[in-house]
Amino acid sequence: MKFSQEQLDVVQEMINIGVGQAANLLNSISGKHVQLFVPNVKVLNLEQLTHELIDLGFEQGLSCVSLLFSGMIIGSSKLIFSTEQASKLVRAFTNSALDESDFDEIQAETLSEIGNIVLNSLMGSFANLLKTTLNYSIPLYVTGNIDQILSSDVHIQNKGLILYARTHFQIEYLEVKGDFILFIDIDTTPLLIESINKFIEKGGFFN
Amino acid sequence: MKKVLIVDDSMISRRMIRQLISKWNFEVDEAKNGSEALDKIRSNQYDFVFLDLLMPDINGIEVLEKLRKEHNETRIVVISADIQETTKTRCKELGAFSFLNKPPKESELDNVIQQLM
Repeated sequence: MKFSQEQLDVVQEMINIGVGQAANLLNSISGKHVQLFVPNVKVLNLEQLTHELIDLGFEQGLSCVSLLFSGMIIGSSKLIFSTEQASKLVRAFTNSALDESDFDEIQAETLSEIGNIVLNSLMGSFANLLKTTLNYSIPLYVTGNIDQILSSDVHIQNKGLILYARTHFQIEYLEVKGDFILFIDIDTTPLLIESINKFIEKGGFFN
Repeated sequence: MKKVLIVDDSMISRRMIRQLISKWNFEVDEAKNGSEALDKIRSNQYDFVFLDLLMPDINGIEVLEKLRKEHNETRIVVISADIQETTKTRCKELGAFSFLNKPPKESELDNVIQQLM
C-alpha cells in the first residue's frame, strides 16, 4: 500500500493536531510547558521499524504505555520514555516522600494513568478528524527493551507493513524527554486513504 | 491589494488556509519552512503573515524571535496545533498579533482578518 506525498502530509497534520491536544493535557498535568518537535511519518516493515527505533536510541531500558485501538483503522499509540526519564517524571509528579520499595508499582500506575489521558486525547482528536469512532483497549504498561515493547503489541506483530509516526517532546524545567509513537496496521489503511481522500475533496480540516 | 504570507511545512494546511482566505482577494505568497519565511518577510512588505510553529529547520517560535530582534513589525497570526497556554503566552510575548488553534474555523480567521484590516 503506497501513500502519496499529499496523503502522508494529511496524516502528518492530523497527528500534529492530535499531539498538540495531548501535549496540552501533559502541560496541564505537569504544570510545565511541553516542547514539541516535528513529527516523522513513514511506512516500514517490522524489521525496518525496529532498526529505526534502535537508531533513535530506543534500545533498552524503556517504559512504555500503549493504547491499542481498532475500528476503521487498527493499531496502537504509545507514550515512551527511557526508564531514567520515566522515573524522573514520576518523582516530579509524586514528590520525594516515596517509599522506594513501592516505586515500581507507583511508577507503573502513574505512567499508565498519564498515558491513558494523553493517548486518548491524541487518538480522540485523530478519530474526530477522520470522522470515525475508534475502540480502545485498557492502557498497557510495558518495560524492557524495544523487542519486548514491540512484541507485546498484538497490532504490530505479524504485520507486513506499518504506518509509523513519531513525535519527540521535552517537558521543560523537569528536563524530561519522551516520544509519542503511533502505529497503524497497513492492511487497514485503504479505509484510511479513502477517508483522507474524501477529507481533501471536501476542503480538508477546515469544514 | 493586501499582501499576505502563509508559512506552513504542510502542503495541505497551506492550501486550506489559502482556500479559507480566498474571499478576501489578497495577494498570497507561501513559504514552507522558517528560513524561507524569514527570507520572504525580510525582502517583502507583507500586510500580515499566517505562521505555523512546528516546522523543520527554523520553527515558528524562532521566526518570531528573529523578527523581534530585527525590530521587524510585520503582523503575525500564529496558527498552530500546539495549543498549550504556555505556547500562546510565548507567542504573545514575542509580538504575535493573534493565535489560532489548528485547524482554525473560518469565522475565527475572518475575525482576525477584520481586526488586521
